[in-house]
Amino acid sequence: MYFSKRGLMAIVLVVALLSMLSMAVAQDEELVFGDLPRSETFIVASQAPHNDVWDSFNYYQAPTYNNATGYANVIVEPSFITSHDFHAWLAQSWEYNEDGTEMTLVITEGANWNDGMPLTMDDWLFTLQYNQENADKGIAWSSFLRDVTWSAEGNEITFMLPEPNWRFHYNFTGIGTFTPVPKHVWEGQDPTTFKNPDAIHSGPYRLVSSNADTRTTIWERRDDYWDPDRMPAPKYMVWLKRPEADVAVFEWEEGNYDLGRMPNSVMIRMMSANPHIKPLVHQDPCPRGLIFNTTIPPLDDNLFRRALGLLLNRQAVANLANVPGYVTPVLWPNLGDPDETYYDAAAAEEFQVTTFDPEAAAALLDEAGYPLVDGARVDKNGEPISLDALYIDIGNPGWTVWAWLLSEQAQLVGIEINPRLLDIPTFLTQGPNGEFDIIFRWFCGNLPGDPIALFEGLHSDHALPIGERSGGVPGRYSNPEMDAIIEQLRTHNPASEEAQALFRQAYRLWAEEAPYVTLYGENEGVVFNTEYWTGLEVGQAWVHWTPAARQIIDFLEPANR
Amino acid sequence: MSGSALLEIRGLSAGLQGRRSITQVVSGVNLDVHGGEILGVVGESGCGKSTLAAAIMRLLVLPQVLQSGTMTMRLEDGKTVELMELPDNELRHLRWRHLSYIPQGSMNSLNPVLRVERQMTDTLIQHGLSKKEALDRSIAALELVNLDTKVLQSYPHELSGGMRQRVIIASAVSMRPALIVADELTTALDVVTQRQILQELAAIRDELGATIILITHDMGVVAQIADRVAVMYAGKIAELGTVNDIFEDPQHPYARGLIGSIPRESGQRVEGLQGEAPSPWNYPTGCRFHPRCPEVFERCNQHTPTLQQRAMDRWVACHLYDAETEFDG
Amino acid sequence: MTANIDARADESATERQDAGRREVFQYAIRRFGVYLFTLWAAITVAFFIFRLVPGDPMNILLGNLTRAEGRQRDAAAEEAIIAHYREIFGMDDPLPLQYVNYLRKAVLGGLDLGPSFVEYPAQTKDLVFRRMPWTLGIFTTSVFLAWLIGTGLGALIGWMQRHGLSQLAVILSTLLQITPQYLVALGLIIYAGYTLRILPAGGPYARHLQPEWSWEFISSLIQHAILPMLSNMIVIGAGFTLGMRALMISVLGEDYLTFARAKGLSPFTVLKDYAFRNALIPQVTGLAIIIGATLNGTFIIEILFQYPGLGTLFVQAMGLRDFNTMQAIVLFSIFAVLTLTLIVDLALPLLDPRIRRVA
Repeated sequence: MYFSKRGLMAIVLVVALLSMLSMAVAQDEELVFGDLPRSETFIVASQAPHNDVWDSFNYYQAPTYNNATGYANVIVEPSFITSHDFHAWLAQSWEYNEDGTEMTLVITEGANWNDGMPLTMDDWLFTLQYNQENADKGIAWSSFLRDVTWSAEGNEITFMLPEPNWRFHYNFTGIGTFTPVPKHVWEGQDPTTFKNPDAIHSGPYRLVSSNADTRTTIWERRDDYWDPDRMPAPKYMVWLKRPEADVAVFEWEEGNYDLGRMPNSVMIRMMSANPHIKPLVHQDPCPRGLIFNTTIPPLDDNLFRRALGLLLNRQAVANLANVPGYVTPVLWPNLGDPDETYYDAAAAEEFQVTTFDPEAAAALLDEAGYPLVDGARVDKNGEPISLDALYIDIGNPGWTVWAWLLSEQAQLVGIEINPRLLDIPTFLTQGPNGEFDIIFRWFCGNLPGDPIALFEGLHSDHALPIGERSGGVPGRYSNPEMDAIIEQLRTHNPASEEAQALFRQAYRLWAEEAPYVTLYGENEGVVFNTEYWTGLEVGQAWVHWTPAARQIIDFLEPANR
Repeated sequence: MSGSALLEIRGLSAGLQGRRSITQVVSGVNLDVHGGEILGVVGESGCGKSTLAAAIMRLLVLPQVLQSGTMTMRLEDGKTVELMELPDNELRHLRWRHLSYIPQGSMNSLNPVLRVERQMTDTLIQHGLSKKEALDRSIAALELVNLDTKVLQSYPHELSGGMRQRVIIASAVSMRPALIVADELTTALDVVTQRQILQELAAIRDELGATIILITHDMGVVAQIADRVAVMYAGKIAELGTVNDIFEDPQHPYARGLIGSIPRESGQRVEGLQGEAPSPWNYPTGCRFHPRCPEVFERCNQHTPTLQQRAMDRWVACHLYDAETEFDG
Repeated sequence: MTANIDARADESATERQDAGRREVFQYAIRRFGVYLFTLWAAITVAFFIFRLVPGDPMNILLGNLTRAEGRQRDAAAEEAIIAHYREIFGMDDPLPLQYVNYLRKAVLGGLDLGPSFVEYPAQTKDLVFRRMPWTLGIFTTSVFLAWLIGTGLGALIGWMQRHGLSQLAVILSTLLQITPQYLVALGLIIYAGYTLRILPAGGPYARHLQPEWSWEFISSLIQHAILPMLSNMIVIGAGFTLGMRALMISVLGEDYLTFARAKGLSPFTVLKDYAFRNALIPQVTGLAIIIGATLNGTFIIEILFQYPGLGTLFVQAMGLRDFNTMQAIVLFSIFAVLTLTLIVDLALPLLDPRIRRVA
C-alpha cells in the first residue's frame, strides 16, 4: 500500500512536469491574461479614481463615471471628438438658424452597436426622449434639454430652443457630452440602476470579461465596426487598475503595460530599466492659476490682487511642474498663441498679467495704500497683512511649490503668506465654499474659438455667501460691469464681430481686476511602452484624463519585433 | 564522620554567576545525613540554606551554579551514586524514587492549570508505574497526610494553603523515597496547621523510614521534630549536633544567639543577635561571624575556623575552641 | 481539624460544579452585553466622526462631474444632480434625524446601511459583504498562523533562553517587529514577486480568471494569498514570538516549574504541561488584543497587494468622503474584531480553571 501510494505520486508528478514542458514548447507566442497574444493586446494601466466600477457600464452614472474599464473611454463614442478641431463621429455637422433659436444636427448614417444591431435615428430620438424624461433622477446630460423640443427628418434632427443659444452644439462636441444609447438595451430601464452588463455601445470593441476583484476589463475587437477607416490595430485591449506606484514600476520595467500614468519621479528609473519605455507629454487644456477671495480685505482691492500677481514667479513654477523641454508659461488665460481676436494684447501689457516683478509689486502696494511699517505691509486699518494660501499635493511639484515661492516673494515685500496643505476632498469642499484667502485652481476655456467659460464663472450669480457651494470661480467676485458683458456674451454668436469685441472688453476688465490670475500650463507625462505598439507621439491631439482614448487607439501600430 | 551515611556531602560550594566572577553563597559544606533521621538545617535568611537544599537536589538554575564538592548517596540496594556527576537523565530517574523535594513557597508549587490527580500521577507514570498503580499510590499518599481523595479532582486554587502543602508532601512521599529535602516547609502556614503538618511529617518518617533534611529558619520547628541540627551561617556550617546537645549547650556564639532569641514561656527578654547577616557579596574575612560575635578576639578576623569535632556527634567551627582541639586553622 | 478539611473537600463535587456552571453562564451573558454595547458605541462614534471630517461628498461628486463632463460645465445640471443625491443620501435632514434613521434602517431594515458612492448604485451592505471575505480570509488566517508559529517559536526560545540561537532569534524578531508592515510587504513584493519571480505579487487571483470551482482558480487564489499573508505573519508573528518568550521566561521562574523538575518529570512534560500551558493563557489574551490592533496593518497590505478587501475599500470611501461606506467598514471591522475577541474570551475559561471560578 505504502509503496503504491508513493508510486502514484511519482507518476502524477512526472505527468505534471511533462504537461508543463509541452505547454512551454507549444508557447512560441507570448500569451498574457490567459490566452491573449501579447503582441495583439494593448494594455492600459489606468489610475482608477476612488470610485471604480467594474460591473456596470452605465453612461448616466454621474457619481461613478466609469473611467477605468475603458468603457467610457473607448466604447462610448460622442457625436464629435474635439481635439484642436472637431472630428465628426456619430454626427456629421451642426448648423444654427439666423437668430440662434434652432440647431440642426446631421447624424452619421450606417453606424452600429457593438452587439451588431444598427444605430439609427430611432436610437437618437429614444435617447433624447429618455434623457428628458429622466431629468429628475440626477442623471448627466439631461438638463440641457429642458424646454427644448425637436423634430427629425431623414438624418437630421432639428432642435427648437427656448431662447437664442449659440452654444447648444457644445452639448454634442467632445467626449463626455450627449450621445445616443441603444434603444433595444435601455428601453424600460431605470437610468440610475441599470448596469448595461454587456457594455453595449458603438465603439470598436466588445466586452470579454470584467472583474471587480482583480480590477481588470478585457475587450476584444469586433470586425463589424461601422467605420473601417477608424478600425484600431489591437485585437485585444485590457484596462486594469495599476498597483501603487512603488509596485507598478516593476510591472513597467517588465513591459507588462503599454500605456498609463506614473509619477515623474520614477520615470527616469523606468526608462533606464526598460529602453522601450518612452515618456509622452501632453498639454493639459486647463491652465493652472490662483483664485483670490474678493470678499476679504485687502483681497477686495484689485490693486492688491495685481500686486500679488506680480509676485508670482510663473517661469520658476512652470519649470518645476513640467517635464524639462515642455514648459509652457501662460501668456493668456487660455493656452496657445496669443489670439487677438478674443484677447486684448494691450491690456495684457498694461496690466502685466504674466509679469514677475517684485519691485513693481512693491510700488503698486505703496501706491494703493499698503505702506511698509516696521518691515510689514499694513492694511487700511493699520494691521499687518497675513493671508493663507491653500494647495494640494498630487505628486506634481508645480501644485505645491507656487505657494512657497509666493510666500517667499511676499515676505520680501513685507506680506505674510502662509502656505497650507489640504487633502483633496477638503480642498474640493473649501474651494467651492469660498473658505480660503488664496487657492490653487485650474481654468478651462472652450476651444476652439470661444473663451466664454473663462469669464462665465466671474458672474455675480456665483458670488454666494461663504460656506455655500459656488459653481463658478469661487472667489465671490462681483462686478456689474463684468455681469453686463457676460450676459451679452451669452446671447451672441461667439464667432460674430460683436462677440469678439465683447471678449476683448471682458479680457481687459479681467486683466485690470485680477479676480484670479494664471500660473502656468501643465504638460503631463504619460508612459508609453513601445515594445509591442508604436504610433503615439508628442503633439498628437489627445487628452490623458478624459476618455479620449477612442481617438488615441486609432494611432496605434504594431511594433516591428 | 561515619562512612555509613545515607548522604555524604563533602566540600560543597555553590554560588551566583556574575558577569565576570562567581559569588560564593555556600562554601565548602561537609555534612553527613544518616538514614532515618530528621536533620534540621537552621540559620537566618540568606545564610545559604535554601541554596544548599537546591544544590543537594541539583535544582540550581542560572545564575545559581554548583562549583565543587561531592554528594554521595547510598541507595537501598547498597550501591552509591555521586549526585554531582550524575547525568540529567539518570538524575531524573533518581528523583522522587529515591530523592524527593518539598519546596519553599509551596503555595505556588502546584501547577495552577492541572488537576491535583494529574500532577501527582504524571510523575509516577513517568517513573514506570501504570496508571492504576499511580492512582493507588497517590491515594495512599494523600491518606498519609489526612487528605480526602476528592482533592484529586480539584485545581490548586480550590484548595487552602494547608491542603496544598499536604498535597505536595503527599506527592513527595508517594514513591517512598529514602531522602526528602524539605525547604521551609511550614513558613506560610498558620501555627495550628504548622503543627499538624510537622506531626504528619514525623509520622511519615516513622512509617516509611524516610530520611528528612528539614531546612528552616525557625528554631522552634527544629526543636519539635529534628533529631540533629546543623546551624548555618553565611554559607558555612557553624555547628552540628543532636537537638538536645545544641539546645542545652550551644557552643558556637551564633548558635547561642539563635537559641537565645527563641521566646520562652516565662516571657523574659533574652539577648538576641546583634546586626544583620552579611550578603554573599561581602562575606567578612576570617570567621564570617566575627563582626557580630560577642566573643570576638584578634584571631577571628584573620583566620577562617574549620569545622572541628568536639565530641561524639558534635562539630563546631569557632576559634574559641582552637586551644582545646589543638588545631590551628 | 481533619473533619474541617474533609468538609471543605466534600463541598467540592456537585455543588461546586453547579456554581461553576452558573458563573460561567453569567460570565458569558455579561461578556455578550459588553459586546453589544461596544458595537453600538462604535457605530455611533463612527457616524458622527466621519461627518466631522472636512470635505463634503457632494463637492467631491461635483468634482467628478466636472471631470466627467470635461469643459462642458452646466451649473444648473450639476445642481440638479447634486440635489438628487443629497436626497438619496438623506443629507437634507438634520444630523440627529439622520442618525436615528441610520440606526433604524440598520437594525430594523435588515442591515440597510444606505447607498454608497464608491460603486453607486451598489448598496453599502453588499459592497462590504463582497469585500469582507477577502480581508477576513487574509487577516484571520495570517493572524492565526502567526499566533501558532509565534507561540511555538516563542515558547521554544524562551525555554532555551540561554542558547545562542535563541538570542539570535530574539534579535531577529525584535528587528522584524519594529519594521513597518509596509516595508516588509514591499520587500516581499520586490524579492519574491519580481526578483525571484516565485510568487505573484498583486491581486487576489490572476487577472483573466473569474471565480469558479476549478483547480486553476483555486491554485491561483492560494498563490496570490501567500505573499500578503506572509507580510502580515512576519510582523505579527515576530510580536507573538517575543511575547511568548517573555511569558515563558516568567513562567520558568515560577515555583511550580522548580517543583516539576524536582519531581523528575521529563523535560518535554515540564515544557508542555507546566511551562507552556501556563504561558499560553496570557498569550491567548494577547491574541484577542492583537486582533484589534493589527487590522489596520492588514489594510495597508491590502492596498499594496491590490487585494479587494475592506482596506482598499476604505481608502476609496475616504477619498470620496463616502461616509456610509466608511461607517459600514468600521462597523463590520469592529464586529469582526469583537466577535473574534469574544470567542477568545469565552474560550479562556477552558484554558484557565481559575477564571471559571473568579469570573
